[in-house]
Amino acid sequence: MNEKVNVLINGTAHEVEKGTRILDYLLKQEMEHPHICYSEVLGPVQSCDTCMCEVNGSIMRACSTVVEEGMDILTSSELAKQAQEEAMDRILENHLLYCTVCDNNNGNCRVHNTAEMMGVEHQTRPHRSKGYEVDMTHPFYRYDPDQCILCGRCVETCQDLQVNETLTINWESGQPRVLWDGGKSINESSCVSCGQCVTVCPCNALMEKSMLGNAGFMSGISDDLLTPMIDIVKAVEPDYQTIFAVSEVEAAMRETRIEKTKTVCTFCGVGCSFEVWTKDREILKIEPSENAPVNSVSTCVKGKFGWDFVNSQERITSPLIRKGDVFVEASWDEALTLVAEKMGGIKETYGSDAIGFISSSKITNEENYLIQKMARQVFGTNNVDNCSRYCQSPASWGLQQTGGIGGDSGTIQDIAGAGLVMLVGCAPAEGHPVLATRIKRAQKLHGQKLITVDVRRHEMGDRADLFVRPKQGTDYVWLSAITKYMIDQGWHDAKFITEHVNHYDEFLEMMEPYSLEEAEKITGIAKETLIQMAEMIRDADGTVICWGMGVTQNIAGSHTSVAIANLLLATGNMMRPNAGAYPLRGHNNVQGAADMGTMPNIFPGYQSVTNIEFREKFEKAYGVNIPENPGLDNIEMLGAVDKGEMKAMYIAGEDMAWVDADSNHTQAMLAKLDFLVVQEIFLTTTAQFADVILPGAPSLEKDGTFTNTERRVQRLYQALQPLGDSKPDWWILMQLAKKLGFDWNYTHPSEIFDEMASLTPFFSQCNYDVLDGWNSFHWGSLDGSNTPLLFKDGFNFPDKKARFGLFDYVPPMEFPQEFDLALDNGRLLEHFHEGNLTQKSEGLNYKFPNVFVEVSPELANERGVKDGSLVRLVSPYGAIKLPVLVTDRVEGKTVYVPMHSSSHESAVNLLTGGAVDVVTHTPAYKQTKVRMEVLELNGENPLPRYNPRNATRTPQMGLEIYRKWERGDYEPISNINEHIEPGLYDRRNA
Amino acid sequence: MAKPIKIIQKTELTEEQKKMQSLENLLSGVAENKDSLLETLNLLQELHDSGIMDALGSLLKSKEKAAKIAVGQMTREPVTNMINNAMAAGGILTELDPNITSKLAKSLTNGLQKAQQGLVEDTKLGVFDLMKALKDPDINRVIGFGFNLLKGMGEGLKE
Repeated sequence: MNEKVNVLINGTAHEVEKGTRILDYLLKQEMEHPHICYSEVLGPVQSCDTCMCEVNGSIMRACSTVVEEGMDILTSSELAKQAQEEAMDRILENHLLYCTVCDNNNGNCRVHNTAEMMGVEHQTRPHRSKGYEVDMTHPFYRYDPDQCILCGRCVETCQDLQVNETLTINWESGQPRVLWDGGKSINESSCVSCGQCVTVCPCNALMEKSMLGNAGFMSGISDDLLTPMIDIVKAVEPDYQTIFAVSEVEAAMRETRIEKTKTVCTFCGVGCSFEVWTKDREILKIEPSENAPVNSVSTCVKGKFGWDFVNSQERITSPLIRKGDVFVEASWDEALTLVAEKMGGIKETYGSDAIGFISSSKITNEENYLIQKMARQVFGTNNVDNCSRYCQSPASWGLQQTGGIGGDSGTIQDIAGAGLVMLVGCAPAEGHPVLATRIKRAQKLHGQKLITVDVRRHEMGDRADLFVRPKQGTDYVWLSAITKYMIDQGWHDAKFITEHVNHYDEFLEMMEPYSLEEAEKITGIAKETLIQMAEMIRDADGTVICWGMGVTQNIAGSHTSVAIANLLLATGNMMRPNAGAYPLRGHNNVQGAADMGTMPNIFPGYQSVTNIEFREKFEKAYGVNIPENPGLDNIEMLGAVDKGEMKAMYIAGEDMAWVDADSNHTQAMLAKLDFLVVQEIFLTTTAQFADVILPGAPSLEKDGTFTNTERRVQRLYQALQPLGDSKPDWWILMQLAKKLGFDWNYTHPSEIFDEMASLTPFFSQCNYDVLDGWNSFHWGSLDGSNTPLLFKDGFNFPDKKARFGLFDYVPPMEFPQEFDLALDNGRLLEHFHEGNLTQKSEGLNYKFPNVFVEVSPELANERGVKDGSLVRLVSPYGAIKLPVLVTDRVEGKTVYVPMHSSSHESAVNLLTGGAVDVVTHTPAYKQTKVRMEVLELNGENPLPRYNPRNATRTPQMGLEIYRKWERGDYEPISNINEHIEPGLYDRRNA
Repeated sequence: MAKPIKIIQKTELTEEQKKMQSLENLLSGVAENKDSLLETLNLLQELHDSGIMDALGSLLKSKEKAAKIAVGQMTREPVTNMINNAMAAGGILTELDPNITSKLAKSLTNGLQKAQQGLVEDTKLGVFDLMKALKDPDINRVIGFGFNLLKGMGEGLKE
């Protein structure tokens, strides 16, 4: 119990926890008090001055004043009121109240609501223009200086929450305003379009362009009508309460036609949730909320602005059947009957195992559950897999071997709270942007240390306290060498190992060869650097290791994941907050797909199909016999197609043609099938091979749940009707099962979830009520309770002890000498996966139009290429051609190609292929070598000049409000103006 | 060997089929809302007969222009003055005690009745009658009221 202090608030005695700020207490007690710039997330920004109180006779800010014993606080004394009104008057000098014709008049405008609550009737300082143009240059949002109240929430957010460090306010200027990179247009600045500044803007100064002229009943009228209307309001000078009354009627009218629906983002595994605002089918905007458990007000460019695909003209809106050289539209009955006949026939003729199912990491948990049920119950096969096979299976396997659960140890709060974060083979500022912001913030404000280990120096490499570039595919070696060195130095956690980990002696023996010298030889990392890394782990209060495809997409991916877990176990960085293992899941539901058992060897909840007890449970529930042997994984299925053993496949929401390695081979295999069903929203390359295409529905058009990288289950609610004759995927699966004699008869996804939970111990205490609204649930305990932090009561093995994994190093595969360049590949910020979704967005394509190959300055020099030169990359498996971008993000003979292409000219997986992870068969995408041929020397730079990578950031610590106070013309309202270091606020509350 | 297909043959409805579909939708709508539709038809007929429909139609067709004219008119100073006056008057009314207003209104009606009576009787009023009238408590009350009213207004003007 924390210490309490006694204070008087408006004459009434209150007992308040020591260290609480006045405003926080007032808000918690639901005592109305004006405030504009304050935010729970940002802390006291101290710029708006509207929250003034009279404290012991002095004027003080409620947002930044901490309660003290015996304080006499008056929130609405004459003195306090006068101060608040003076502050609001200064704000309204900067902001014109044309609320009724403003697109931000939706009931949540802070300036409007605060002025109204204060009962403001008139202003003494008339509104005046700052004399700057509205900045409309950016594709997604605009800035109107004449409406900007200079509260600086956007600056604080950009500098210290998103930590992109683009926005500032030039306090010393005659007319301060918000600046991008010190005075560039928004479009040409380092802005990464995360949209958080727009989200936190308390008025209409920063607005989504999709809202402009769209949200209000009268906001769409043309300028030559609007301006005189605003002039009338000005000339008439009604008191503001009248304006507010009228605008509130209008806001209420808007509520009847604007739907606000909570959803969960689908562009990576972080699991951001937010409201989507829709008007009929139009998406007005994404509105994040401080209630969102993972991201709060944060988003990235895709989550905030990347939803155009939902209303794309290219959506498939009717079932399609292959007839000759075309797809012909068909009714659902026709299409499903055909699928049932053909697949039923193949099962009869060739047996259950001639059929394979590939599920999706984009569809819901409920739909994944149904796909494995379809395979096992309706078709009697375990041949079911999902796209985690292409990315994170090695990480899950590694963690299952060592701790018993294949998931992140804790939550994003643990990552933010760690003393040291190590990023290995992952680029979260590109691939998991909101998660990266929490690391950047902790590093900037709270002294968190960051080590980035990668062959490519991305943003997190630039920001790292220590950036390390190992030889490709050698991570196992340096991880083991550090572990061994720390044990040798006695820096390990001997007590933790004795109490909680098995196989220590065997582990020591296996580590024997991994001396620092040996590691330096194999990995290219200097011995001194390895020691420095070990020291940083030793000195940190909690080490978090995040890893991604740079580790898993190697032939030693599984074993390297084990090596990561071993290091964490040896140093006692498990079973505690702010530490642990965090494989960063790439898609919104890649964790959920595996959790739901769309894998050949497990039922939902990682219950092995070879375990007779589990199998009998599911056989009883499904009323059929289920084969006792694991089925085929993705890779094996294609092998079986090649051998003529697999005749039919059912692929849901996975563009396998481009996502699997060696695309030429994959596509040849798809062509070879007797019968292919593809459940999709677009005519992807995979779908082009189909015999029947069943049009599914994207996340905004259905109910369900997703599970993010933190093992956190969250609900998404239907925001739109399915387009045309498309249907939610769970409905499609249910109808097909019915055609094949299994009447599942669900009326809502919640019933599917309940069925799953009844068969799956991890989920036994979870249901749709638990997940209502912004609530969420972390699986991770066999009693089915909510488990944000894993292993608090022991590891998931019968003796509750973890196990050092005893799996040795597998060196990367060798290529013939002619292939002299190492091909790195992966994701960049602006696009998702092969681009089928995000390339439907005009704005995203504008910022990032085409893929390219990043070439180091040394290599460019050696080969005589420059920005825009057209080159061909050739691997043993295929060739692509694309323009060159010269950059020192890559070094020496490593080149990098983003994966965002589904073109036969430039898709990177035409080059990859061959090797797979020794355990899980995940393709070793990152172990590809190519040679480069120059086709044309001169060409256009593939990265537009207005891409943020071409700009330079303007970092500073938050808003720097003290610079406003230092202005000669600033007359203080508060008796105390004391600058609070950014970040002090949440550290205090941590 | 399945070749990739990029062409979707849309089932295009013929014009005739589209018309039939629309008509079917319309007919079922009509059947479901028979009473309200008949009533609306009557109303429309009335509006048409009186010529209002015609005027409304023209106004709608030129709605942008009309709105601009209206707004243009409203920004003229006399008009904004008028709005300001109206709003100021509104403000005065809200400050008055409704009890007094009602008393005043009642007495005014009463006074008007008496005055009407006087007119009918057509009596001549001499100076002496005036002096006598001042002593009449009813008249005296009105004159007192008037003096106080003037005094109050004078104070108001001074501010």
